[in-house]
Amino acid sequence: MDLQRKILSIEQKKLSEENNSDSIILQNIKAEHTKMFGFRMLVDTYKEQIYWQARRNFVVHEDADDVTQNVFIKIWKNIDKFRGDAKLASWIYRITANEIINFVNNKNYAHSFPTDEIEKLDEAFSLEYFSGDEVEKVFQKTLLNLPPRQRLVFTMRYYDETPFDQIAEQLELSTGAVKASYHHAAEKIKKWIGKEF
Amino acid sequence: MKNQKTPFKVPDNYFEQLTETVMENVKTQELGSPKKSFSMWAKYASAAAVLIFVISFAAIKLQQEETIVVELDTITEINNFSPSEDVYIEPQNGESKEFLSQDAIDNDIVDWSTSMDLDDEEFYLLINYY
Repeated sequence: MDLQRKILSIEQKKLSEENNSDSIILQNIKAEHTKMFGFRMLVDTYKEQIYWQARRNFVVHEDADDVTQNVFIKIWKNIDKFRGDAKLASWIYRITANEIINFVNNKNYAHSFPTDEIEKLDEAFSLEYFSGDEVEKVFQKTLLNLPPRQRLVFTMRYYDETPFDQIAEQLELSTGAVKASYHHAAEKIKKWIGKEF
Repeated sequence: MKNQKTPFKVPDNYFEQLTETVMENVKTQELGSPKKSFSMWAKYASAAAVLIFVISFAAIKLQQEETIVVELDTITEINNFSPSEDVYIEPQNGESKEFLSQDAIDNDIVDWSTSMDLDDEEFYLLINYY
């Protein structure tokens, strides 16, 4: 019981720190003379989370980098419209999720890696960009075969352990749909990996 | 640099440079904004010019078509003129309004030519060439 209370207290503290940090960022962005400073704080706070979310979906560093920069440009263009109804983090992750899905659709990434960019995939699994073993490589290639939304849901849950209701909020889906999407993805991965080994 | 669970790596100093790259992009966007508004203005201006041109062209074309219709109407009227129809003669000073049929006019010409003592050939020339 004590342990549970301690975990709860740590989580609440973390949440409060995040909210504090977000409110400082927003205060700075709202004032014209500190807008750039506030935006720099935002970039420093969220750049790694946005990048990794993109990288897990595309594997290729250059694509993840493109998406990360597009996300920040979108945030910059729309930050004045952010009213604070949702948490800043949720708003940013929603933009990221949309950008990832758009990128997947535009590049015809859906269901497979674009065949004209297969060299980029080989490079993505070279020692310079990849530190996993053969099983990990098969797992990553399997993820690329998932439909974009399932891939996004699966990576958010699997890597970041994001709660289903938060994923639902960020992707503007119902919690039930997110759960179903995650389980479909997990089943497909099990089946595909089972065929490989 | 490696993420906790992700087996992927990023180039050295990538995240350190990322902030600067993003800030540069944002500044470029900011500088590009006035240019964008000018190009938007130019777009609207050219669209308006094209619209004016199209409307003027259509108006001129319509006017020309009306003229052609009028001319065609006149020609149609002439072609449809039937000699058997009555012809209205504008009354002279003190005369009452009267209508003469085409036959009556022809009879007058025949009477006149007879009084002039014209033969058939002279009469034919008179009718067709004068």
